[in-house]
Amino acid sequence: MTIEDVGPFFESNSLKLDEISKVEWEIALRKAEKHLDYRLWNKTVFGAHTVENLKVPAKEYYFNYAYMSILNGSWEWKNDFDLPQQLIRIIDSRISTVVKAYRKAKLKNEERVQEGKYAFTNSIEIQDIESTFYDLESEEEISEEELLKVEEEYNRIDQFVSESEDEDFIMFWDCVKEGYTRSDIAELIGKTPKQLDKIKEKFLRQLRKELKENGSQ
Amino acid sequence: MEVNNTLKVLKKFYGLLMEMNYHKEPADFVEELEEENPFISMHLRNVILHRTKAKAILKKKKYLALKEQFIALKELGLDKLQELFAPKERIEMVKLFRKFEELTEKDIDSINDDQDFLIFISSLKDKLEDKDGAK
Repeated sequence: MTIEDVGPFFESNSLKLDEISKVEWEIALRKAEKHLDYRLWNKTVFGAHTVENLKVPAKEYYFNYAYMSILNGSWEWKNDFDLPQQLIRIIDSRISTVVKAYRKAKLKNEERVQEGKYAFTNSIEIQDIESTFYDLESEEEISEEELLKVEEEYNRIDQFVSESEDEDFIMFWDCVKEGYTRSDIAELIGKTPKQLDKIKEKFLRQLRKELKENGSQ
Repeated sequence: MEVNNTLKVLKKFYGLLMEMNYHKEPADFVEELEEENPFISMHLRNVILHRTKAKAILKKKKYLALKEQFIALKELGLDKLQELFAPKERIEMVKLFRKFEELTEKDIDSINDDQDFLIFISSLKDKLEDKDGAK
């Protein structure tokens, strides 16, 4: 970052960043990291988010892009969002830009999309981001091998749930299978969304522990 | 369960996790902050480093803007600038005007921390803008 290459929102973003402590930054980064992990699930083996296309691992690429865009002012940090929300929106927008460019290049039968070719956007359209979380569309066809991995992952979770004999886990997983959203599930199992979040945390913590003990990812 | 269906369920599952993560409050991170995360530590260091750089760039930008203003005002000349103020105000500002007259571009560094003089420069600029706007 140099004085010549800072973006049009450098001053206004810097003013907002003056109010952000190190702990707040850490929370924002942790939240953005989780978002990226979930967003990129099963999407980095083929297509737009491969190292071949981005030159660096997708997680590294989008993560770095998001916070550097705020720091150097190439993206405007809008008043409507807090820092984690703003980072998440930049990540999603960039992902969609890369995917569009990749598809376009693929259509033109180009060998590889150069990073510099992506349109550089400075603002984010305010949209209902939550409606995109359940978007089932995949950027790429999935291979047989990948499908097997997906099935394995599914079976491991399924097995963990049945062996846990935890009522909350069983109900939570049943609702996931039905494709319900956060508020739907909370209503169905008679909990508040915050209580449901706690169940999910416990679910993931125990699932990770179980997988680690069994030597799986 | 059919393979395509398992894929669909897992996609929904990660969608749900995304939604929950989006709503997670800062207070709910207390426990997580205790866990080491090398990926986050590395990027947090990078953020802090760039914040320091950004602060230095901001200071430099402020200085360059001040220099530019100062040169423009100098070019306009002291007499014209004094005309912007009422005679009574001029008397009150005599010291600041004298300082302005004596200063050269090379002395800009020394006025960067002189708050009274910076306010004076900015009031000159405001007066000029008001005058131009009234035309």
